[in-house]
Amino acid sequence: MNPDPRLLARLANTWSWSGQLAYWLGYRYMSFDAIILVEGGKVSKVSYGLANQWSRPQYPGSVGYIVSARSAHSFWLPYNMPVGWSSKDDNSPQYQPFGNEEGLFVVYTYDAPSQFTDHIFQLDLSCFWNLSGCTDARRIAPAIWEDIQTIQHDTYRQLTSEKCPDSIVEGRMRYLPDITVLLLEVTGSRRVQVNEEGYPAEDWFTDYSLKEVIRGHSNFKSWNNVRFGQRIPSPTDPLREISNQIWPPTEIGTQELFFGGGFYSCRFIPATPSALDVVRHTPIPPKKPEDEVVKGLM
Amino acid sequence: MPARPNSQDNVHSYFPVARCIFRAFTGRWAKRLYLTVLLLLLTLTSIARLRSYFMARNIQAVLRALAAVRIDQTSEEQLVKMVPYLGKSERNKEGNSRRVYLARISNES
Repeated sequence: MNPDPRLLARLANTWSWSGQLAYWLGYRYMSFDAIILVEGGKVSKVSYGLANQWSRPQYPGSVGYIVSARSAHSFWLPYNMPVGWSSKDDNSPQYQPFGNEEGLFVVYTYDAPSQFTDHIFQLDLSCFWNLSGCTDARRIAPAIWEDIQTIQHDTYRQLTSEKCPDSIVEGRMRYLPDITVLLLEVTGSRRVQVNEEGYPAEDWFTDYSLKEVIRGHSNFKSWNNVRFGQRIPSPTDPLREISNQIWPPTEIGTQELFFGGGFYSCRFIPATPSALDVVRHTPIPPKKPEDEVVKGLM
Repeated sequence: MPARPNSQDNVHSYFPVARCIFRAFTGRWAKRLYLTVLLLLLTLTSIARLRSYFMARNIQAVLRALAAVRIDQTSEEQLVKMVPYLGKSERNKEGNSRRVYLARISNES
């Protein structure tokens, strides 16, 4: 026998009304989970999640919690698929906070400086008993929210500085085990005037020759006619785009490093001796099962 | 010359039902009822908020301990001593070098 839908609707309405009354009287749903993985006698992973409402699925550092965090040794996906790595991740690879008032999430590496990791565990839980209530994640974790603003600001400054510093190269090599790094040499370059639906525009094409596969593999047989991507996702809002101001060198004979994967910016970086040194000598990070990025959640 | 009735007397004489209701809602027993309901609400809200406060304190204790845990450095023995409300997961298999510890604080019924 199917229950009467009108009765179910009335029950849901009563439940919602009683829930509102309980909330007004000071009852707040509160659920905190801390999960610690120990491997070989040492702590290998720490994660926690704080929920202000019942929600499933829950995965620290991604969904289901209003504030959550998880540690990682590296970032990897099954079948060597590229991990999405934004310009903000380039600027702060060891400490990656993201989110908004609806939820704040942090992924931090095993070697992240304590000045950052301390912020992850500084939560203001007074909203669970005061009159305002807990609906804004930024008030629960103000330090994390402040860090997000700082990282966004620094990333924007780096993107407009027209430089890709070695620290970006180091972060990628240390925490992305499935990264592809190729050494290419410029063999030709040309600017082409195009008609973009009635408006004059120009494209920049560069030809390269593959000199060396330093890590990973080359998906392309030919490195000719590589088109410069003129727009990249904005560090403040990935759904918006900003102009890519970091142009790769185009002088014939110059060598460049190509980074294959889910990078937003700095895919081509001049192969300076210091950058080459970092690329060649940074050890490949371990691919621990607990660090696998759950697809669709990051 | 007869005295003119004042406006209050007019209300009493013309609206007897309203007067009755007014008296019922402002009488001694009504005031006692209001006070009782108010005290009951205050007690309920205080209990709910105090419960949340003590639960939040327990969460803060776990967070403080987690902040001191160092990945790949803190040993299992140190972890058990450092982090309060910690329990071993039931899914741990004997002989496996990987063990999961959980701390759960919730008012979920």
